[in-house]
Amino acid sequence: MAQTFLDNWVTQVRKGLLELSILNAIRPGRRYGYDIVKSLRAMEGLVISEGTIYPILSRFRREGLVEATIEPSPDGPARRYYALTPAGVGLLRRMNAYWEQVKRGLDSTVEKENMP
Amino acid sequence: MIELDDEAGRRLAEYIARVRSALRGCRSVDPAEVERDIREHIENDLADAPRPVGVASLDPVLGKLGSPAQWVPEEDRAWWWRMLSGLRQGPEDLRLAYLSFGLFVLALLLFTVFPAFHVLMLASFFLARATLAFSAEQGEMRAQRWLIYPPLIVVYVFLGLLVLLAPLPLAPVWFIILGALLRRVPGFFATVFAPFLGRERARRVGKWLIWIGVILVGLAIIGGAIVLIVSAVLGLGFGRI
Repeated sequence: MAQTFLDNWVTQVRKGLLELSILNAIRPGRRYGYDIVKSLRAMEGLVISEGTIYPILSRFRREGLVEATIEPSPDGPARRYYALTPAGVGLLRRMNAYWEQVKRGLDSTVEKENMP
Repeated sequence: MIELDDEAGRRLAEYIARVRSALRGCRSVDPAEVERDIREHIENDLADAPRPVGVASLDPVLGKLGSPAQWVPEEDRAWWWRMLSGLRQGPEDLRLAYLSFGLFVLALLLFTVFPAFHVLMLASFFLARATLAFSAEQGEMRAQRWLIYPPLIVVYVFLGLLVLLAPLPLAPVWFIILGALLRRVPGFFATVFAPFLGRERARRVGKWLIWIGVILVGLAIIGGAIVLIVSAVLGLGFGRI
């Protein structure tokens, strides 16, 4: 029972964090899908199946948070580049601020719990 | 286009077919766009693999991409996809809920056919009740409520009207008796009319019924008294009419 609860909880947390991480990965400048996946691979426990990232990118594009352009690549197949739209930049700023706020609150709660 | 050997080609075609199937009926994404990204991902990941690429190189890439069925959350899918998926692989309460709704729709379609409508509606009702019982056991309702509410509402409205109006000639007294019963044994009514009537609501309904009954009895007494007084004043006797 506890394991099922933990699994569900991890799935929920991961989903929200993955969306935030994808937007943050694009924030510095446009990137193609595979490059985004590579950068998120390093985050332990965040990306369980790499394919999950592409439907999220597609949803972001439909919602106007990112825009996509296809360009030829000298190294192989044409690449689909993603970049944040102004709406995406604004939303990401608010998401990051919210995340910081939650993290601070959570950290202080955990610290209190761990006090002798 | 990446150069694959025959077996790897088949494996990739199967995987892409699974991607298409998983994304079909998904409202929030563009399946063609995702498929293109997946193909691009595979080609990039295999850029350094020896040609033609075999399954030994392809399988780890597909393994890391994961099962397409898990890529999209359930709530992003179209209702018909969720219904089919729920029937095919969902937990017991989801199957029951979908079956209940299916029988309800069938009952409506066969509305004029006796006794098909009645039998199907009752079957749908009992399946909805089974879904409720199962969900109560599990401690959560996983099925969509609108799947089980229609047959419950139809049967409850019928039962409610039957209970309220059957003894119509004695309605005021019956309301008082029924109200008292609702206040005395609210658990029984809460069970019969779950999940719409809890114990507390049953007590409240009972109170209202008693008040309505008392008012109706009072009105009947006052009305009767007025009729008697008026007939006495006018010199009319009921025996003489």
